[in-house]
Amino acid sequence: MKYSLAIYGAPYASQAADTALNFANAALSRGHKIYRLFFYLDGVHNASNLATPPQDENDIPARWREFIEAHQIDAVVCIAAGLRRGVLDEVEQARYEKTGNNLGKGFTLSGLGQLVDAATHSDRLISFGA
Amino acid sequence: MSHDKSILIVNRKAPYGSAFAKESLDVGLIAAAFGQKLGILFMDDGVYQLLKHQDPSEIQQKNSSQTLPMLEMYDVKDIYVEAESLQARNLDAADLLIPVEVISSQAISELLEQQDILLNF
Repeated sequence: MKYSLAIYGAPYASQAADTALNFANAALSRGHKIYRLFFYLDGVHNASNLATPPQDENDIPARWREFIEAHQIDAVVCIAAGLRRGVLDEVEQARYEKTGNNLGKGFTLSGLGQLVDAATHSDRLISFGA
Repeated sequence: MSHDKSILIVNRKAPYGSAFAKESLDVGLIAAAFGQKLGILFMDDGVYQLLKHQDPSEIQQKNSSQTLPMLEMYDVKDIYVEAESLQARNLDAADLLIPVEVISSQAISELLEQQDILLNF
């Protein structure tokens, strides 16, 4: 089965991001494929590499980065939702003359068309945090 | 892009107080612009997204309902509202900004069953 995941929940605000990550790991370990992760609404905060949870806490953004790199997963952050909430890459930092950027390694900023594309090219699209 | 899959967006939250309504409408417009077979269902507090005469200026929000008529421009005709949700809130179709099809919760079960993809907001 080919899955896509739409993640709408911010880390540390609800269980949505944890559950999405656990689901993604479980799906791969059962031999399924992940077509795309799409981060939207407050879910864009999962892509921030500035999140600094206490050392004895689950580092959700770091776990996403490791997961994406280890399995070479397509991980897209909605650019409009990201810009609104301060999740920027180097290009957007330069474009809007901001003091920094924080898009984690392995994530890309792109448009909502990528969510529609994921919906149409996957066997299942599962949303987390709606 | 494959066009053969049907998408239904399900809106269940009030228009203000969270970003869901606004960002859901953005998804609808993009899906429509891509030529997908698209329907949109409003139920529970989501029916408030369709109310006429919205003015959220005092809470520093954009009036997202002003974007709703764009759905028609993008040829999105299948807009459904759950009858029971309207009734529970003492509303009817005349209170709504755009033409909709009011359907019972039982008909919604069938509608959901027919879809390839559901996007919940």
